Amino acid sequence: MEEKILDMLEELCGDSIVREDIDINLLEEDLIDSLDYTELLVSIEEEFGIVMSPSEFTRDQMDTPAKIIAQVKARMN
Amino acid sequence: MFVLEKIESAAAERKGQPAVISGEKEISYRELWERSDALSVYLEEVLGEDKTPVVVYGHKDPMMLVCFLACVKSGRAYCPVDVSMPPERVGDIAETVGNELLLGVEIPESVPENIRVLSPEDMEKAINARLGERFPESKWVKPEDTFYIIFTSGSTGKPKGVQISAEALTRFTDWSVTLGGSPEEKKTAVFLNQAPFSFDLSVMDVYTSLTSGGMLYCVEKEIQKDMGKLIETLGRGNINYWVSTPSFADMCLSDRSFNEELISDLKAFLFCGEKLTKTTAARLMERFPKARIVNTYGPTESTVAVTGTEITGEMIEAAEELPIGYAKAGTDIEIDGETGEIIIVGDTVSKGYFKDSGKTAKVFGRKADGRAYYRTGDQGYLKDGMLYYHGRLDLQVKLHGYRIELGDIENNIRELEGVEAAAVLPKYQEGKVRHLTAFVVTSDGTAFDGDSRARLAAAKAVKSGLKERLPEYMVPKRVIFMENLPMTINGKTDRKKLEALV
Repeated sequence: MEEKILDMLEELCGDSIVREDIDINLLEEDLIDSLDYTELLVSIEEEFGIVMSPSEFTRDQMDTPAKIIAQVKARMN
Repeated sequence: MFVLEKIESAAAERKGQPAVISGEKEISYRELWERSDALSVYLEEVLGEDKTPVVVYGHKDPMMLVCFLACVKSGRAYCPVDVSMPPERVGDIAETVGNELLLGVEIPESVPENIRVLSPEDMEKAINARLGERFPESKWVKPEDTFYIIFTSGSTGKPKGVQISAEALTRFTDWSVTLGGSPEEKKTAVFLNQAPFSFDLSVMDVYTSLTSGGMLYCVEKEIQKDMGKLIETLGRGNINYWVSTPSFADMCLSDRSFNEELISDLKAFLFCGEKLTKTTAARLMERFPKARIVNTYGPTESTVAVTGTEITGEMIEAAEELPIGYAKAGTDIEIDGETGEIIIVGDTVSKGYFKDSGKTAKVFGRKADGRAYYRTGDQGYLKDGMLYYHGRLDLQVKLHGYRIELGDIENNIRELEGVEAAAVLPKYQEGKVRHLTAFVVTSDGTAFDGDSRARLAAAKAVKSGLKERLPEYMVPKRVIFMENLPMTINGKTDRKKLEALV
């Protein structure tokens, strides 16, 4: 699952750094924008069947690859 | 009826009813009319015979509308500049417009020395001191005078000011009031305002609403950035007519609660500014089965939009892309036989670019019968009078509704320190621009050779350098460093090769 999410992030951000440093702040480093978030959520739904609406969480709960993985994990259980 | 007379009669009818709601602030029709009268008295006192257009700086405060009307009542065009514009461009625009006075609904960070900013406090004082004074109609802008000037991206790196006359705006509102429902239905209706006032998509909601006695419901940019607040704000608005770019609707669609239950009285979506995809239209139909979806098309140079059509299920099933509509009354669409370029002929074509006769002569002209035309640079084709969009002839793209000359961004990147060459290309998804990628060659090559940390830092430096010079929407999302840009045999940047890399 982690691997899949990192794949998605790498594709969205266009930079392999998201794998090298999973605590990198995607917003501060300007790697992701709001449309990317939207796309990420759609991909997560398609891949894992988990529905996450953007209004359910704040940006700082999802601003690093590690946090995103943790959020998805939490919803899988 | 003349556009200002339409607003006057709406104000006389609606009196204390709200004309504009924006965040915590609201203004009634009576206040809008009386306060703009008072401010126009002030403008006349200060500026006298000088009819130079006036820059109005700010975001979505209802006072913006007061300023707009005050300018045109006093016989001057206004030029709206949004707070998202970087200081350097604000200065450029203020200087180009050339009025010694700038109406600051918010205070710009920096303006050229010779320009005086009327601050919100002083504006308030100026208005209150003259409240109750009526301004004579005889001094209003005349039909042939410029009503507003909106600056759009120019290929050389300097924005171009499109001048729209009062009569062009009048004719536009005659037509826009018929979109998505009858003019009768628009009286007292609520219109969503998403676009900043410096983007002419906003003219569709602002003036359709004000001329028909509707209520403008503004969603500020801070709210647009926060999905939770955005959904809540949209839900509270009792919106009847939705005016936005398709991208904005896409963003809202990503939230499940964006549906009929949230906005139960929605009558129609009015889209303009960029391509409407079948996916977006189909999803909206599913979530809002009772609302109409109207697609429109037009460049700033011909007053917001000149073609429109309601999107049907049949159109979504059809093989071709969604149509962009039939020409409004008073407009003819011609297609250049050789290039396929869309040429707009008719009564809402702009007078040309402000103080730029060279660029004006290149794209504007008059037919033998005297009607004005504008060469759009867009490619399209007609099928039984219905217009379909094909693409651009040049390096202009639309991103989230904003019109962007790639050359403008490239020139600005090249001016950054340590940059040798640059090319900017769009990344397409479903025929629509998703984001921009910049290919950059630096003189010392470090960013190209370095590790991923160094690359990231260098990319960030390019972006922050650009943010000082360009509006945020023009800053490429991705920056890729190269040793050299690939060249064609003619020695031009090989854009085809770069395309494969975005």
